[in-house]
Amino acid sequence: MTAPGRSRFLSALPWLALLIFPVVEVGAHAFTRAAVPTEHDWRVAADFVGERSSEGDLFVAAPDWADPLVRQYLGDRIDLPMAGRTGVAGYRRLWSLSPRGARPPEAAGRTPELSEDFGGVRVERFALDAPRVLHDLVEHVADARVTQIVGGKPRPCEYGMHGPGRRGGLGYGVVPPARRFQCPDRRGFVWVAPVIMEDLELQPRRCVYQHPAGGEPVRVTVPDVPVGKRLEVHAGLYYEHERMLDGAPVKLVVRFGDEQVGEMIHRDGEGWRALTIDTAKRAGERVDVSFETTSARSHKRIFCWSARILSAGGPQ
Amino acid sequence: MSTKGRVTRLDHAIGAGLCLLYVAVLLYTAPAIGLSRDEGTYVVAGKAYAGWFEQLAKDPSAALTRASIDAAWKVNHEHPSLVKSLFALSYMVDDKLGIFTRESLPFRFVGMLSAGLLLWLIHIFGTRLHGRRAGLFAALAYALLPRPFYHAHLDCFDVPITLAVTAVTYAYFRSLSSRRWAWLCGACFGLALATKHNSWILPGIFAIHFAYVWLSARRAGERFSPVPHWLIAMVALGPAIFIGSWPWLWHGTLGRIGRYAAFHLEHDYYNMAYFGENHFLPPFPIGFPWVMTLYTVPITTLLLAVVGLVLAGRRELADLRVPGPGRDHHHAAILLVGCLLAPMLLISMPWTPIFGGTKHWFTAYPFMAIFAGVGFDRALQVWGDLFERVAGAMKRAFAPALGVLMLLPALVETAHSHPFGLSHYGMAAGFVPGSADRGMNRQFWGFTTGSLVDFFYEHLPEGGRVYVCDMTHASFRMLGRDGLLPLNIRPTYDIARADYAIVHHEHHFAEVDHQIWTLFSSAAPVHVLTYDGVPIVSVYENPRRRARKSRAAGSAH
Repeated sequence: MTAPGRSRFLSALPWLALLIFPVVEVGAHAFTRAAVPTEHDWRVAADFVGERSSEGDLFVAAPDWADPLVRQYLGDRIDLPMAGRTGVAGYRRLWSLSPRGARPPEAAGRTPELSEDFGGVRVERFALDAPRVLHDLVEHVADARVTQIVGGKPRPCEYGMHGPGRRGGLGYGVVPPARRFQCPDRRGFVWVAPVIMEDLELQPRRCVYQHPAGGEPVRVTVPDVPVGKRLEVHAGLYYEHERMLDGAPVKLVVRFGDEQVGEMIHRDGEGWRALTIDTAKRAGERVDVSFETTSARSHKRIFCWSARILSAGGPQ
Repeated sequence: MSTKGRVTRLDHAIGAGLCLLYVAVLLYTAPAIGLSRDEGTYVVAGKAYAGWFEQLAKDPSAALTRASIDAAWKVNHEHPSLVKSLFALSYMVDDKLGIFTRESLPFRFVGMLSAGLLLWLIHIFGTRLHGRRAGLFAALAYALLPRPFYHAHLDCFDVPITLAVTAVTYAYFRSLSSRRWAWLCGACFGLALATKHNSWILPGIFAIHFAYVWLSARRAGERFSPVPHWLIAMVALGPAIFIGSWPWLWHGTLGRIGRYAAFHLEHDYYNMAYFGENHFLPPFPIGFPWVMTLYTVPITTLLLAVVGLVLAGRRELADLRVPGPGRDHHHAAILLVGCLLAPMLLISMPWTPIFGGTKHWFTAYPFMAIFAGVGFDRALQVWGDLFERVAGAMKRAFAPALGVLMLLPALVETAHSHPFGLSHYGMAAGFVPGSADRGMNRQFWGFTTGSLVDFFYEHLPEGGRVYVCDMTHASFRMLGRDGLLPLNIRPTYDIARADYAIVHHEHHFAEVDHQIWTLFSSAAPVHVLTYDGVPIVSVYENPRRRARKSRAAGSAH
């Protein structure tokens, strides 16, 4: 090539590159669409998982935006405690269903003991070495005694079918399930029940709704709880109430019988916060565990907690 | 094919053809797009205004009383009335003549026609500035933008205001050499004011451009009148048309104008997901309009626009150094850059709400499309030189073939974006799955409910109630009145009493998802509407309905 020819060629290069772009763009579009799993892929993957899963298995989607599809295809294998879990405690194995080959954060640092591709869906299974859950207090809250302290006197909150409360929708907050403890408070928001609440990160949390009523506590006492090595409590506020960062702190006090064993003062911005209480000294006992919530200002303080008695330490 | 500066009848024929074709495509594709939140509101407003127009025809003195005006025009008085009045008139004409087959179409037709006229105008503007090839490519490039294509179907203001802003700009540009156009500019500005508040920034853009042209002329020793006739016309006609076309302002004028301005200057902040974060309060990310443009405009189109911008910039810089022969005395490139950048800069301000996705800077896109036309025109010249033999052999087919090639990604993406326009992302975002990985907004306005009509048809043969999440009840009912859904499938606000509850997957709607889980005691949807594998809407069945079905099946056996 002569010098002028080379120079002409070099100056033409960007224009030639421009010609390649539409081809690349259309090709990339076709490639991306071709990689999308079909309904059949999902069904076969879900059947595969269903046939090999057992109690204590955890099912997750990776990336997390595929979660609705995993819940659809695995159906009620993903129950509310699993859908709104905190950490992996209580689960022996982790199943990951991924439409894009991603790994869930729970699998970080682990090697899959099983990996299969079903069209566009990759299924992987990992062993977990999470602590055992001796008692999940959220799932036993129906057995609890619930009282609201008014003028220093406890007033019982009645458990039963109370009919629908708020109808739901954006900004309505946590909706009351029909079966709940309803406290005799005219403001209506003082009730207790297990629910799913989104935390400050918009993550679903299976927890006990226990809105503080003011300076005097609302108290939930779960009877006859087996004590393990530790009691792990998580708590937070409903996303829209916490995100403005202008609400009053909420105080959560935990008691074994009359003895205070833990306390959390939750301030806006802290999100889904953990409180770990070492209970090793009383391991093996059975106690009544109480949770009390108070707040100087109870306006827009939808508060929710989860609590589990764990057998031993281990990664969460 | 150098027709720069000249617009012939053929160009208007081309523009009209584009307009008709685009409107036809929009009419054909519209039923697949459910009415969005805002559309439902504007249908209600349009009907209220239609009632007033009828009263005006029958009993003008009664219609013009404050009580009558307020009763009709109070509806949706936070937006000017011109476009909604056109919705009303279109609705009234259809009511008389029965033109459209669906109730939503006379309302939507106004937006569709605006989109068609916009293509016509882009072609004319582009042809006048850079020749027919550039003008035609620009119009097609705009037509094949996925997000504007979605919005072009709607009875909303975003496409009409894009038309209005482009028309004012075109008239302003022509006014630099014709005083008649100054008055047209003023009239168009009045119509733009009466369309949407995006128009407020136009005098500022024009003033900067006008000053530049004047200074440039002085520097080159040329004659140029410093009298801004366009501004005089804007001041004279703009407010008169704005107020005259909006009966709501005929009483308590100043106070109501003040409240209208305050509504938009102090607009509520809504939720918008962006790179995994749900933004709901300022400061908003300044990169939002730039990244969203990169992520949603087909890359090839964007690249050609950048080429066009660079070429125009180089020309302007060269002219700045030495004003030469053949220069553009009116510096169209400066004007176009101003109109392109101003809306995007405005949305970049950390305090400007970003809830509208890309639609709030649509007014920039016609100018981006013209730059794409400039880029294509220049590229074609270079390719013609490089591939002389091919070009020679192909003769007149060379330019169209390369035009098709350069527009192919846009065509493919726009076709595939339907009916999920607001969920669509392009190559820069990794397309739809890539955008989900990046945590970008997946939709807004709840329009994707329209893609569930087949599901509800199949699963609610006896009718029932649906909790419709982000879709308004007015919009949902329109699915029925349009014949897309049986009328006995009704919307409800009450999740617990719904047969099916849906959630539109946007970050902040996690709340509704979890409300459904709590009330239905299940996290398992019975159906997930997806777009390229990404969940768009989840549908849950009320366990009470499921139990009823089981009982019925049991008794049948």
